[in-house]
Amino acid sequence: MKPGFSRRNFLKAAGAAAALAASGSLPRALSVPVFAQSTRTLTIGINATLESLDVHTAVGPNIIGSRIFGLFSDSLVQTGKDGELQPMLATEWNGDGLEWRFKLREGVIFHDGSEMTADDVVYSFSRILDPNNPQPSGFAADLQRYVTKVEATGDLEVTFTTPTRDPLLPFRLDSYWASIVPRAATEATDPADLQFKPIGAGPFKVVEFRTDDRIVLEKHSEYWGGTPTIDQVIVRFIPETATRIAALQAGDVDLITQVPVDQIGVIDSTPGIRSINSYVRNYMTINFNTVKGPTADLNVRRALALAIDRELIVDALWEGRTRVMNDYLLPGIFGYDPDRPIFPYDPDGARAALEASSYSGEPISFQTTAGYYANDDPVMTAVTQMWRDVGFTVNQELLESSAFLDLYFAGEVMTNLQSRGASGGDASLFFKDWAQGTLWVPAYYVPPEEFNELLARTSESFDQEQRYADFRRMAEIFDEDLPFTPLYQNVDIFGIREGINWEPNPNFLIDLRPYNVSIG
Amino acid sequence: MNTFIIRLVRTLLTLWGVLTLTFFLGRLKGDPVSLMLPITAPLEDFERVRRQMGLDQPLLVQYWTYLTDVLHGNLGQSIAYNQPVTEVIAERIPATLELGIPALLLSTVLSIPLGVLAAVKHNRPTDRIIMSLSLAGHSIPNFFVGIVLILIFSVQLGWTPSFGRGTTAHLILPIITLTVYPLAFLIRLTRSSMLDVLHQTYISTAQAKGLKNRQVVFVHALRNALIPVITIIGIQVAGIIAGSAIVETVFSWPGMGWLAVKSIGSRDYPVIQGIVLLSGFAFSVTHLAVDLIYVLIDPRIRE
Repeated sequence: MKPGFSRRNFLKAAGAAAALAASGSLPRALSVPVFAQSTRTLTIGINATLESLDVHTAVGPNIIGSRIFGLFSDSLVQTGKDGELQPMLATEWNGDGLEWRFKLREGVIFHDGSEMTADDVVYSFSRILDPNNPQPSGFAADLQRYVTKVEATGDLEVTFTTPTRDPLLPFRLDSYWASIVPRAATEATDPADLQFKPIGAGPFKVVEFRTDDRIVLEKHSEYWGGTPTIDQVIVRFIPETATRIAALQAGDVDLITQVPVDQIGVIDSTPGIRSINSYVRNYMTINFNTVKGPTADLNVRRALALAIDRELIVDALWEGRTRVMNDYLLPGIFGYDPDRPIFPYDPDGARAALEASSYSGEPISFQTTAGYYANDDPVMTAVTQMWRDVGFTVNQELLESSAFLDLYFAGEVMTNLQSRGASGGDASLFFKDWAQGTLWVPAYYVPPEEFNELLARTSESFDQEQRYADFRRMAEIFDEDLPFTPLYQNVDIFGIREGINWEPNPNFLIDLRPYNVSIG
Repeated sequence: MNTFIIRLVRTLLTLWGVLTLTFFLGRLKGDPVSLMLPITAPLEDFERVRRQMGLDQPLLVQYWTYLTDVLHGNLGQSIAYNQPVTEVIAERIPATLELGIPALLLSTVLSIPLGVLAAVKHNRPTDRIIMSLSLAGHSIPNFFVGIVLILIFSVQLGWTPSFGRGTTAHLILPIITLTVYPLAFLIRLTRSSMLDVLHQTYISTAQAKGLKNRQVVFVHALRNALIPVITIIGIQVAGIIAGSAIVETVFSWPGMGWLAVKSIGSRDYPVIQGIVLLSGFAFSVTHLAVDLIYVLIDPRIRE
């Protein structure tokens, strides 16, 4: 960005001078990235809030944590843009049978200056899997069923023992909630303080955290991945969308998250800022209750699925900035089939299926949690109309999250809009949502025995060809049973100041490592 | 002394009643645990977490535990923040007061002269202009006012910061936004109360006695006209503690209002109850203060 003297900049300078005189404190205009002589600061305006930065005990997994935790914490491995696992604090891994061995990276320095050893990794996982954690971490709850023991088998080697043969263990460790922390410094700190000043191995260290206000981080000059190209990162919580966009336009922040589709034009037409649109490993679906209600009839589900004109939704409501799903999996996930055609739109077929079904006009409720998904209302309204066009009676309802969850847990939801996805690069991590014991099974769908067998087999086999074939058969079972129907892939839309080079990450992480960001 | 004790007991009963209502109504629908774990988590995890947080106990047991804790000064631990409720609330009170007190002072100090002026110049152009402005301020939603102010003064002119709390400059737009509605409301109230008083017979008496208009208005009329106004201001003083959720959300101001909305959405029961307790206390205290002021202003009330 050039520090020229356009009229806007002049007025800003005049205004800043006035504010400086009036308030006797630093003008806010300095949040604009100034290069060369002073500190390079990146200010991020984020839409949701975080209440704790102690990754091991924090609530999740959720989107906001995925965006922020990776700023100050590193894990053993991380899924890259192409879906492959990248070495992070672990450089190599191999496993067979019930053990996985991870070789750790040499010379990793934590924020407190200590060097990482296998003992720190063992400690970190014991902390994650501690049954007395005060806050519910969905990640820990999940991981504990896949790991029976973690032990140091060398200065820089750790071995994980799994309860059954598990080809996917490394993928399970790819999480921003699996931060590696130093034993000595963490044990010496009061747990209450760790929520505000966590210690990790990431590119930045937390200097200050005021809940509902800001997180201030400064660069970790001994970061194993190279010296960060930014000196200071400030994360500001700005829940109101209009304010967030105004903040970017006014120059008070450099990067904002969660920009609605209809604001892309506003951002792109403002000089000095631009929008970035990127795919995430996540897609919208409509779930069906296959166990009770009118949707328990397979023909009803067929009709509902065929009646949706997905391309029209993408073009009209998303300005064509995303794509219609063609599979239950996504590019970058092993098991995905790129050659499948997109899910079909066939209103005549829908009407025929409706005819053949037992549907007799009872209202079908279509629900979601209000305000949680971008464009939820327009998309639902469009789908509701498409369903009515083929002959259904539909009640569309946007519910407050608690109200929706009450119905959901009672098994009372008929159809709902929901996103599904897998951050990990393997289809098992996606299909395991349909294993026994989750809410979905058996309250909404009982998969056939064949599905359960395939799920078990793919979770334990190392034969990739066989697994691919198995995954395709599982997708076919979904085609046959229609427990849900995919719509479109989700996109993450940002606004950013010109002159900042940065790329989004398909798992929501705001990646500010040296290879991914530079200013000017 | 007797009346004081009676009032104290009544206040305590009110606080207890309000707390009990909130406790049970809040738990009527919704579940904080299901809001924290991902939907795909195994069902046994929901149960385990519920047990860890003591949320599986029978409701009356939870209620009794909470009540005894409160009497010992322990407002519990926030479910969302994993910090003591007293800490969570204490961190946010200054932010809310920073906006609430100036807004209240501004709206009071500006509304009384404007309301009196409108009443005295009843139906003349001055009155009409003031009433139109007041109507505008009354009808425009404050989030709209806030966002428009941001667009004009931050984005277009660059004179003020667009959001957040920090320097004195950050206070300007949120305070203006918070002042608009009470100012508009108090102008109308002052004006109509003043008009009522000005038509009373004792005012004609005062004028007949030959008193100057200024004396009539400010010495005799205003005192009486202010009684309903003071009641409303009293309510607003108590309301300061509760904060304005809308203004705080628009400006990303980390205060009590934003906290309240967040806590309700995430069913953070201990925090919700703490806020209600605090608000109830604030209302009780201001109620007492307003009653005392009445006694000072209106001799008829002295018993």
